Amino acid sequence: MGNLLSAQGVDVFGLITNEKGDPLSGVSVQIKGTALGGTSNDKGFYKIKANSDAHLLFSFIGFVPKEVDLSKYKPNEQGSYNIPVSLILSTDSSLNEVVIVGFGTQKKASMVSSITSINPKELKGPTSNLTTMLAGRVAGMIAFQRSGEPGADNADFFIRGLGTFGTGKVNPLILIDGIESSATDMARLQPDDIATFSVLKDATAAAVYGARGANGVVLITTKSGLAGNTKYFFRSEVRSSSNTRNFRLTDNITYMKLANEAALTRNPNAVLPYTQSKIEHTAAGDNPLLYPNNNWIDQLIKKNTVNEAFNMSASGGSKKMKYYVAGTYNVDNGVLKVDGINNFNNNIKLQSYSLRSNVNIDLSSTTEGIIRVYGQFDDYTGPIGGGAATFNRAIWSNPVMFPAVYPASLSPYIKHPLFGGAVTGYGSTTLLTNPYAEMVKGYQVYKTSTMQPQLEIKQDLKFLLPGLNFRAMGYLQRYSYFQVSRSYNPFYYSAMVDPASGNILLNVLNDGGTNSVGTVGTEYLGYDEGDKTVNSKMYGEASFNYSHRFGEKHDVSGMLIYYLSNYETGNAGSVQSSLPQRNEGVSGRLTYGFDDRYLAEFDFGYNGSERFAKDSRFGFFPSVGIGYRISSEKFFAPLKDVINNLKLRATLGWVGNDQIGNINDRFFYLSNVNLDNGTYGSTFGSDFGYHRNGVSISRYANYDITWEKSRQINLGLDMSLLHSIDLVVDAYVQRRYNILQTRSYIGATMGLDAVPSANTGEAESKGIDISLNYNKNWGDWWSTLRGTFTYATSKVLKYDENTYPDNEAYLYRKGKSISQYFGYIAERLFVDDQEVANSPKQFGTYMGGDIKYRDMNGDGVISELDIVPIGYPTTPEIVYGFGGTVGYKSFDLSIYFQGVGRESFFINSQNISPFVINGGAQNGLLTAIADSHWSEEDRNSYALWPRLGSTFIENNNQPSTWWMRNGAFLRFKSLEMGYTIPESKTRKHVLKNLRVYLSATNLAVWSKFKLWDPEMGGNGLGYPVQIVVNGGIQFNL
Amino acid sequence: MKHYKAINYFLFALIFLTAFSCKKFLDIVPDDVATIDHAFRLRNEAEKYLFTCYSYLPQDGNEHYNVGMLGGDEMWIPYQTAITSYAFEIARGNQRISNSYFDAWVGNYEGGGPGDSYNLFHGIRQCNTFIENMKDPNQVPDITASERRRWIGEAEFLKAYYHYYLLRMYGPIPIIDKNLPVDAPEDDVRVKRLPVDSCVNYIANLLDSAAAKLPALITDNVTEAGRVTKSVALGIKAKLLVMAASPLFNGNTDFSGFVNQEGKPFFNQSYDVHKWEKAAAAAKVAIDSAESMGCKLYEFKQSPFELTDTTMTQLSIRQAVCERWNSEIIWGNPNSLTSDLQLQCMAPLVAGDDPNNAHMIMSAPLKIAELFYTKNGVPLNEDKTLDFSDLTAMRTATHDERFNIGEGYQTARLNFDREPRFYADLGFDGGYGICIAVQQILMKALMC
Repeated sequence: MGNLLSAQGVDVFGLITNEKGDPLSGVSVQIKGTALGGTSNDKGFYKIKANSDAHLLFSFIGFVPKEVDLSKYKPNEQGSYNIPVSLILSTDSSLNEVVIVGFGTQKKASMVSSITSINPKELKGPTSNLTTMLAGRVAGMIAFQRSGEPGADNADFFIRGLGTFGTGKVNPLILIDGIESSATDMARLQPDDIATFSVLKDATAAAVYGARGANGVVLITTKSGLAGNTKYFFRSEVRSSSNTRNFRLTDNITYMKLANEAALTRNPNAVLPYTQSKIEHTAAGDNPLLYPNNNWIDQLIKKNTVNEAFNMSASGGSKKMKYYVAGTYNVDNGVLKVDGINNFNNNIKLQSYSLRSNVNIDLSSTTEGIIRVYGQFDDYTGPIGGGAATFNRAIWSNPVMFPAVYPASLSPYIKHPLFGGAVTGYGSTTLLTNPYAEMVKGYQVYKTSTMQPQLEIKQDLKFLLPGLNFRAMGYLQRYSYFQVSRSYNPFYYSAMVDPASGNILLNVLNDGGTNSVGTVGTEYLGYDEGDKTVNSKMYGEASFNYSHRFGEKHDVSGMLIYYLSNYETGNAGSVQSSLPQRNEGVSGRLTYGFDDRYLAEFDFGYNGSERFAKDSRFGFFPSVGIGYRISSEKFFAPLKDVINNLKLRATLGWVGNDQIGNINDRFFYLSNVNLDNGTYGSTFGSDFGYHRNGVSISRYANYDITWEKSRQINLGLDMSLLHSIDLVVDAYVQRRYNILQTRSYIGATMGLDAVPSANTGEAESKGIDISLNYNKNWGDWWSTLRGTFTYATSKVLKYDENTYPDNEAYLYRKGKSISQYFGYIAERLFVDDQEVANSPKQFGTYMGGDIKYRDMNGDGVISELDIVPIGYPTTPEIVYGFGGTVGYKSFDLSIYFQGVGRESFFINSQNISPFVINGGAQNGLLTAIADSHWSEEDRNSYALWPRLGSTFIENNNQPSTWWMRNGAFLRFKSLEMGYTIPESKTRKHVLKNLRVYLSATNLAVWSKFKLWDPEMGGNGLGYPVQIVVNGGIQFNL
Repeated sequence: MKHYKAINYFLFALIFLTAFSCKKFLDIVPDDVATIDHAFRLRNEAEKYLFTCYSYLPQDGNEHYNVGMLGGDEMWIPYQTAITSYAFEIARGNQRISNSYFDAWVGNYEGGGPGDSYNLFHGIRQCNTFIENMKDPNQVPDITASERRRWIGEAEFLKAYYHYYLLRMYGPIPIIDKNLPVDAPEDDVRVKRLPVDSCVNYIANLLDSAAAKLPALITDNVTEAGRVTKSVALGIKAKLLVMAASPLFNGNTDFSGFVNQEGKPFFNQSYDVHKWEKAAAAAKVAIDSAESMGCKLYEFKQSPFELTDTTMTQLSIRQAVCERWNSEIIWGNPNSLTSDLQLQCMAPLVAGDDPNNAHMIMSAPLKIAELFYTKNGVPLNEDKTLDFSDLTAMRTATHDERFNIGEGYQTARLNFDREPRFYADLGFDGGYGICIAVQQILMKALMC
């Protein structure tokens, strides 16, 4: 908003004080119905220009807002107004602030549950994916982004961390305007269109969602229109996107030398892969068609790409009808190179469009109808296999055996591209992967559409009972997806010099002739139809709400809702999984507040799900909460200047998770039998002529399977200090039980075809969420500082596993974090073969310079019994963020830092094993490995890489601490600098609130890990997280 | 007026609420979603279940799934190149405590048959399910009483055989006489291993019970050859009792430390000579039964060629294994064909043979070649008239030796002067054999 002082109208000024007459600085003064206003200076004075009929709004945290009608005052001689204002300390700093809660709204003051509401503006950033903005901004949310690939860049997020090790749903329930939505639906939302964003964290908040609330709930509502002239809003952004960090490949001379070393060091008689002559010619920079010298990263990946985003909305309406219509168009391009070889675009291009129309109609004086229609469409084109595969191939391809493509001039009569190729070795019939050919040989297209019409009716029933309302809502959601790909099979060529002419001769490798190897090339495009997904969801709910204040002090509110939902998919694959998924339930809430001091709340959900046997279909999920606003007590009054608000909260409740196990295996009470299974048939007869198929069981009926349940205790503290600091602290303990697990411990002697499942698992998670806000204005300066801290840790309490003797107790999953990784303890590299011979037997063939593991149980063999929990969990336990906005007049600057802690990840050593041929792939050499590996000359037992080798070394590829890395990082998550042109300068024009800004994300990252962006974790060879630098403009009309 | 309107909405909402809130909303599973009950509604379906019980029979004719082939050192292959065999890891001494190779208990590393889909405990459970259901007269109402009895007998035999197979591999095993419910508590599912003698008694009794129900002879060979008969059950019982009488299981004090939780030994610790008597008696019953059905030792007879006695003897030895449904076979299993075994064993015989059809990777090591007797019928080192001191010395085959070794061919001393089984069973450099074309060979040859 800034500090916009109106230039027109009359001067209004005065001193703002509290009840005692002390001046208040930083009080917001706003002209009602406009965005114009200012703040009081550090002496408590304000000055503003306003029309003489304006209403001024004075608001300050911790005080009751005050409205002043200028027309009731008389101007002084100069025609200006001197209006001193005295603000009354509110008994409730945010008495009228309303928070979105499950199936309704609630006054923030009366809340006892743990809900984080954040200003949608905080989620604004130079990205078309909302989920990437969550980390560190929402207290209580563990979030991290593993990939930057357009269309696949959703961040993972969990409310209060992972609460279960069940194989079913672990992510929160996402409701957008009450519509159950996917993470991608949420990713495509525009912060501009969001009215509220709340995260329900504890059982009392989520209990009304009963069996769907155990993993927390994200509630988002979109904006509605306001009566008045039509307001237009436009935003346009142009973004430059580039990789935060590419993995670095070494130069090819080193590559070839070390490839030779790798062959020799394990087999002194090995044939060297590269001749000295080839190495020298390559080093001399001789004809790269004959001595190829590729850096695939440079040849496949661009430095940066340009993306665009447009968002517009129109809102307004009359008393009877209000509307909010918004449209969005985003283009996100990949960073892959496109060559003129083909006329199609093999780079990633994701275009997403959405159209939203929210219309509120007053059907009668007490009835409101709301129609919301939302359409969301993605159009994607990209390389075959996706962008991450292209990054993977950049390291999984040989850099020196062939050039990417020969110039067309070498074979002028051939129309197809002349890709370079070579076989994997002498006599081989497998072609090495040419990553360039793989990237440009074709493209795939997918399109998705989501259509959501929604109807809502609100009826005020005050004629029956004051404070009673009825509301009904229903929606349909139709989703469709299809994918097709088109590509040709590339022709590969090898080059040689014609001894007679000295010209380069090309020899085709895969023309289908006698000596053809690999897939035969085609001149024309092939076609492949991919997945097609269609599904449909229908939902309806009807509820009564009641809210009333009895007498002076008794606040009572209640809510009762009935809902049902139906989901069907068109490509389920089997009878049982094609059956509709249904939920039905009744939920309610009852709150009582005494004198805004003592608060109590009871919530329940009573849900049914089609997955369970008739008798156990419905579950009851109650919760209770109490709150105590100490700051409303009389004895607290002396402190109130310092501590404006202090509330203690405690809740206890149960919520469930019915989405357990595999969705295609959900009717636990039915057996699943294949009565015609060829695998279990038999044949008889002297000529083997009589065959019958057999019977197999893929699931045994189990009537007792039921919900996963969660018991949660939450203790919370809300505090406002000095009218500028807001602190919210929540600590919780969650016990998740009835976790569905396969009963693998029951042993083979049961002879079950399918491992049965049972609700046997238990886990505990606990943690603390803190958010801290600081707002302060000093005259023309204003600032907002924010910080969040989320710590969520978990522990398995009961797990289906073997029993182990005492000396192998480390094998138990029990007592460890849910996402604990297990592996061997790598002590160091073997010094020499002598040490190998004198150490416990490990894996496969290995020698000096390979990884030496610790024999935990001392049985003289390194086996799976020596695996121990290693490192921190693989999902971070700590996510934090801090930053703020400072503004001076019309300038503002926001920065935000975000980090995670207590996370380990594991390098997949196979993926970066240099020189190894795996099918047509041959791994490149990371600079880090070239710089630090064990060699016979440099027997460094702590080098990054063990002894080189040209095959996978089974011994070194075991999961172990050798490949464990610290996943903690801190990143400069976002930066925004903006200038809002003062109204005075734009008023004559049509544009209003014109704002230009420059923003950026992921500008820097600090971590101990350097090979790739640490946030990508073990996924480091994929599509990197992006640095985005963005220029934007927004204005109203 | 307005109020009426509002009340109308309210009533509409109430109707909306109640109309949908019927309990039926969650009943979405239609009738006739296949469940296990469907398997026993008619004979036609139940037959498939019977065949399912048979499908767990170990693939004894396959070099991967018969641990006897590559788990010892009678045959050797190039290490994990042409084929990967986990039994071969055992032969090479790589067996390990965790993640054991050829784990037939859990069904892992080829111990559970092709795809590890045929764990024997699963087979036992299928047999129990089948027996339980077939014993219920309300199930499969359209089957005759005699066929019901026969099918139960077949399932009892298979159940006994699977126990026997496990007993052979693991010694003491738990007896799974009745299926435990799927949701049995943890304590129940930990079934105790029983001492070897108890296992043997249980299996022998079950085989008796099966034998009493099984037909003496397969009458419809076109569709039923390979189904078990009384002779099969009696034959397996004889093998079982011979095994139980053998020193490994009979008073084996090497296993004195192998005890159950109460401290009782799994292997009886005192030798009992009566076990041999029981075994002999069972064998006699089995032989009588088989002979009465026309089984007898195989002798090669039919040939359009004039063959020497030497060749005929060789063929009698070889074809006893290789000829389909020959008179020596009491129980042939058509579900375990030897096409892959032949592919791996066979050498390309002439220059044009496609090596993809004859891998020639399964070979008897020299140690095995040396084990065969001399033509005098004694081990090499015990022959007093023939000198086998230098096995690798070269020697040229004479005219008289032409039915065993190519005339005039020079080859190792080891290959000369050997018993007919040597020439019938092994191929060697210069070896000469007659190949009788048979399309496929039945593998389960009990008496060989």
